[in-house]
Amino acid sequence: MGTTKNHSSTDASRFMEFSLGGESFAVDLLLVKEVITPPEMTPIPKSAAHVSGLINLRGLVLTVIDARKLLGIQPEKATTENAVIIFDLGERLVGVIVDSIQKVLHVPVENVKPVPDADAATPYMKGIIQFDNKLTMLIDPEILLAGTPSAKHRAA
Amino acid sequence: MKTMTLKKKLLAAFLFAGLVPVFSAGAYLYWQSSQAIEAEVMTQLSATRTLKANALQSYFKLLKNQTLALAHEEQVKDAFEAFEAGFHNYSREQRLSAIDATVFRKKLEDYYVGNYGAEYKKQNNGKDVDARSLMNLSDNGLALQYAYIADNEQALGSKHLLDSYRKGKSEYHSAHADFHPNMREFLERFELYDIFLIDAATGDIVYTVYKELDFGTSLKNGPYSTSGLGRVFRKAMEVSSPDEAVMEDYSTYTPSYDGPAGFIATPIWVDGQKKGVIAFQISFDKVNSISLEKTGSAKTLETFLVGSDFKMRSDSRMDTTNRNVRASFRNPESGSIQTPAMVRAIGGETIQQVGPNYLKKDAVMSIAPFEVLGNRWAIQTVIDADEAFASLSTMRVAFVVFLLVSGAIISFFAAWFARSLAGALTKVTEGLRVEAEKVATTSVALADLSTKLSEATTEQAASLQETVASIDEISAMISRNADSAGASTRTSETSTLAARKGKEKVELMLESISAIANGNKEIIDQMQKSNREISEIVKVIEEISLKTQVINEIVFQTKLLSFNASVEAARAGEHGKGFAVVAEEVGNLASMSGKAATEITDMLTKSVKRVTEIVDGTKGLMESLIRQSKEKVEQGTSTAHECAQALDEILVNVSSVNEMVREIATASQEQSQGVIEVNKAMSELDQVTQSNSASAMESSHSAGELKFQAEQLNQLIDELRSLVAGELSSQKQTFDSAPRSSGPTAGEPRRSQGNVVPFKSSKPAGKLVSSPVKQSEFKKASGISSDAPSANDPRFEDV
Repeated sequence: MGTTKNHSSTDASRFMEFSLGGESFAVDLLLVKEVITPPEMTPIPKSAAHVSGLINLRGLVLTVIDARKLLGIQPEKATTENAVIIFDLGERLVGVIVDSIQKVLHVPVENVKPVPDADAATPYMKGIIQFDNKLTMLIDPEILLAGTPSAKHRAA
Repeated sequence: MKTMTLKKKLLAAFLFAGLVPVFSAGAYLYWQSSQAIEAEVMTQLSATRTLKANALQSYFKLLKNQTLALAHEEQVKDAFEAFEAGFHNYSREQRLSAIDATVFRKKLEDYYVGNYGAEYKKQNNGKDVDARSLMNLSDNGLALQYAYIADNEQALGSKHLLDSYRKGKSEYHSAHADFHPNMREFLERFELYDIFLIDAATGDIVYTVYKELDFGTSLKNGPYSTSGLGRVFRKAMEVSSPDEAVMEDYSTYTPSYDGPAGFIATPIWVDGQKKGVIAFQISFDKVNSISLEKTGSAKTLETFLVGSDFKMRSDSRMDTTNRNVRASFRNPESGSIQTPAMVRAIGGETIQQVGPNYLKKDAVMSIAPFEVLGNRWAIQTVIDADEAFASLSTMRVAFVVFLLVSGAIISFFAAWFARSLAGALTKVTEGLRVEAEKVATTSVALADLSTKLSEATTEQAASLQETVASIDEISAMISRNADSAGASTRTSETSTLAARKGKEKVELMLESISAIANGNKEIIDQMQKSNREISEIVKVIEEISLKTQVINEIVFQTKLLSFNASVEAARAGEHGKGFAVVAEEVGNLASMSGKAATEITDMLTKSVKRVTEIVDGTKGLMESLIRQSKEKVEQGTSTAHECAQALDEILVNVSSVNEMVREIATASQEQSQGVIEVNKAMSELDQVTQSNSASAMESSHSAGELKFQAEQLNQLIDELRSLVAGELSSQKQTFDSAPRSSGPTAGEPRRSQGNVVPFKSSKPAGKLVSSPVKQSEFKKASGISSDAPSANDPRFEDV
């Protein structure tokens, strides 16, 4: 509880940290609508490889993307920790399957650094979170999921 | 004769008796005949010789008479006187100068050297003659030789054909013309070689028919004064009676080219004075014609004359090349006949003989002295023995044939008779001999038999001893058997006990093994049970694990809830701040509980794994151990079972062994009984053997005597046989076939070993049975007595 107090005393942001292939990634907590355990998926024929299928989330149909396939990370066996992060991208809701959800990061702003070298940067990389002697890549899900099929927010 | 058979003897006797008279008669007859034939041949020969001698004698007598007749002929006297006067006056009458003489000499020399020399050379095998030395001539002689020889146109040897010398006139030539043809005719009629008229006062040969080199020469001082003609001239000059003629034997005569020449001469009496001499050169052709004249058909019969110098006086018919008159004088070496018989005949003997003739060939010859006008010759008539005795050889062949034929006939009959006679005798002898041999053989056989019997009894006795010894051994063995049987009974009882004990032990062992097996089974059961329990534990652990998963699920869900709460809190902004902290704390707790659950799961997994490993390990080990022990138990069981079976069999065998041993014991007792009985029988048998031996001795003795008698008989028969067969060898053969001793008097037994009875057993018979059945051993075996046996056992002495 103490740490939370410390974070709140400074200008801090909250991020959701997750792991993919042993690497830690983070997204802005506010972009996350919710996290769920992977539900039953309806595969979409002739869709891209990283598209796992469609799910029904309390009456809403939305697309689920396999982050590993999307990022070209070797796929791992599904574990009990696999979870689907539902991103609320304003216009649409997209589900992304990740290996596991680590925690909610509460870090000061100065700890979020820009991507040091433009060459190494990819468009979806928003920055690097330096926290607890550990580097976590901050991803912009809107750019990452820009080209992916999506379900319209309350499309029905 | 001793070695001859009777047959041969008889044959010989017959042959002797038959052939001796035949042979002697034949030989005598042959001898007589040969004597007669020889005498006949001799007689014939001497007759022939006498005949020839007479003929030759009459020829020489005729020759003498012719000489005398011519000497007394008036015409011859006239001729002589005319020739003599003409000869002596010739050179004066012709007024011949020294130049003429030289010319004549020259011409004559040509003739001498040329014509005469050539002819001489021809007749004397190329020998030359010094012809010039013969030209010792008076003037008249030279002139007349020139006229009648050199200037004679007739050829050499034919000068007598000139009747008269025509060149110039002279007394001599006219006398020659008057008388020469008559003289020549006379010469030819009487077959003379030449006729000479010689002047008694000067010795000049005033006339010859043939005009050879002697013509005109002087026999007193001329070249031929020493020749035969010269000698006959001198002899004639010494004659005192007008009826006497002289002869000069053959000798070489130079004018006849040194050929032989004989002369007969007689003086020419004129008014009681010997004015001259007439001489004939004898023709040996005439002599030959008489001597060679054949009488009879004998091929080799010949007659010839030989002079006292052993040279031929007439030709031989059988050796014409060497033994003719001319050759004989030219080559006395090969031409003479100087055999001993001839020497004797010249000496005056008349010889008739068979012997080698001059050709070294057997011949029958008759030689006699032959007197010719005061010369001693010999006449020989000879014929080859082969021819002369041809009939004798024929007779000899006939005689031999006769002798052989009669010999064969006599031999045949003699052989037949001798064989039949000898055969009969031999048969009888053979019969006798066979019988005697039979007796001998029988006696020998008898002796052999008794010997064998004796040997047999001895052997029997020995066998008895051996048997007794064997029985003894058997007895010993039987008792040993009985002992062994007892011992084996005991042993078998012990082994039965041992086997039974063994069986009990095996049964105990079997029980133990089955107990072990049961124990193993229980162990297995326990093991299985514990395994089951362990797996139950594992199940519980697994359940725990499952529960832990549920916890994990719950933790996960809790976490998710906390995140969602965080998200909601964040969305709530400042209002949600406190909630956010709570949410985070919840998330943290959830994470911690998740971690714990994970650790629990790990531990459980580990423990399950460990347990499973342990269970699996123990299970495998236990299984293999149990399997092994099971096998071992099974093995032990089967071994124990086999052991039990073997022991059972041992028991059975031991009982049957016991049974057999009992039987053996019984049998041994029976055997023992039997052996005693056998021993008894043996002693009885021994008694019998002893008496057998004695009988054998006696019969052997008798057989010996019989054999002796048979041999004596045999000897007698052999004598008879040798008389008949004449062979000593046959005797040997006969006796070899039947074995016999060296003689009946020899008392030594033939076999010193002595089991044979000698012919005259002077020695104690005890030696005969050298081993009188070792009684002691026998008795020892039978268990009766044990007297030490001796070679002189009294029981054998009376045998």
